[in-house]
Amino acid sequence: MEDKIWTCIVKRLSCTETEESAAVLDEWLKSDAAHIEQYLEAKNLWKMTALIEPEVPAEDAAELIHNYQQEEPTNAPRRMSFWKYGIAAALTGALLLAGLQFFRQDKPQPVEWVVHKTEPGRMDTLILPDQSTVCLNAGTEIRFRKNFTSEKIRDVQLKGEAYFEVQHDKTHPFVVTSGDIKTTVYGTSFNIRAYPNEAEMSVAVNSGKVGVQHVPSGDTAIFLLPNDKLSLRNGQLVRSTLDKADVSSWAQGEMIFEQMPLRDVLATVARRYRVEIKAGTEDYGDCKLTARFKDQPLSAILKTLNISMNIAARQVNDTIYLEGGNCM
Amino acid sequence: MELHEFELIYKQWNVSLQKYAHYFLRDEEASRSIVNDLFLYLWFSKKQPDNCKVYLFRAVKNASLNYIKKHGNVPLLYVEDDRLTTLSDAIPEPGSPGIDSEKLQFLKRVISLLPERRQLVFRLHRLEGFSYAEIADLMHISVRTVEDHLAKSMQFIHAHAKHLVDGNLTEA
Repeated sequence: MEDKIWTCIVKRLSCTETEESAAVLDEWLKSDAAHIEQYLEAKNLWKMTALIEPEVPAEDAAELIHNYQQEEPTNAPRRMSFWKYGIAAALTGALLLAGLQFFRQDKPQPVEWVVHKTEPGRMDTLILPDQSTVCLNAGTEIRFRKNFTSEKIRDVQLKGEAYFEVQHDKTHPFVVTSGDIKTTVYGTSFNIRAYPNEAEMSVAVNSGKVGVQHVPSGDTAIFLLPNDKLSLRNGQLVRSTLDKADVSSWAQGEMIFEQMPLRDVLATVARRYRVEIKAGTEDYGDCKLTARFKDQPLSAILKTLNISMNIAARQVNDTIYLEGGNCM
Repeated sequence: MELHEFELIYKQWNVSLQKYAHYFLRDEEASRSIVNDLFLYLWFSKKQPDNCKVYLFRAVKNASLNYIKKHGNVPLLYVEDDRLTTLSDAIPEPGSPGIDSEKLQFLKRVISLLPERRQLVFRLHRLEGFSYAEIADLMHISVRTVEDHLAKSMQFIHAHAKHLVDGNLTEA
């Protein structure tokens, strides 16, 4: 029993949880207040582990290189033959596996971006080179420069939804660009939702102070504090307040829709449950849904759509066909 | 690349790579040799891999497996000593608690008491940022086993380090 719970706890903390494991964990959390305390302790410890610095080797690279160059010529062949069997062969193997270009010319390298994507239905945690953590929701893509830590600005590009916990560094602003929204922080935790095809983009703050710019409107930044949320809809910026738990509730398996156009609701559901949703000839453009789903199976969501909007659903393998609907 | 860039990469991954090599070789001297030789090769050949971390870990894996093939007598699978070291090694110095770096030091010590394989899984996930699937591939174990090791790691860490976060519980 203990083991199983810890497996579920770790799944939640590493954003790899399944409906099953979430259900088991929530059941356990509900059964005793002490369990909640335990979970929070585990969560805090988990976060602390992200702050651990790598151990430093006894000699530094300069010494290593220097010592090698000092060695007697007689030692060199031994080294080289070790390399021949060990490293060179290993690198050829690594090459075949990675398909890398072997030799690069010594010319200035264009700045390269590291890209990380999540599949529909999967969440993922990423640790950035500066030890910040990012929890990516389904169907999300994040990009950052290869030389992230040596640039003046910690530059990140986002398409989708992610919850950031940024390492504090007041000399290097952490900037996330997501469509028309630019979010700047020095060390805080916040959530950004910016799926390219959704009607609304938002930034919600969990801790610290966050600066948000709507790039087309100019350079003035709006500052958000914990529990603030800024939404961009039809070019308009709207500010609201959230419950702390709602800032990144998706990471705990909850879906919250607030006056969300049905089209976007369906896209979110499709990503989360890894299905395709076909609306046939219906255009749900004006339909807006306000609802909260925590650890519900897909059927419960479809039932809600049926009751509240008269939408009929039929599932064939991984595709849901929708019909009808008379929403306000 | 420049020496200072190389220095950063070296400092960041040398020890982790040695621990990873040791997982295969069970020999500290050989692990150190293989990893240092890799860095020397990287320096002198002036390579600039796209993804340093992945490149380094893959190269160490291949070099370690080649070394085993060549020297023959190192067991790849072995019975893991699951008995955990006593915690007395990890007790922090008496004095003012609550300074963050002291807490981290204590946490580090606790992690270092995990059995080797479990500790490696934990480090690869939490410190190096590898996914479960990547760890499974690096260590030739199943994703299920990775999950299991992580769950047991957290259980151990929680049991021994929860006092570090006492009285400090925010939902953040």
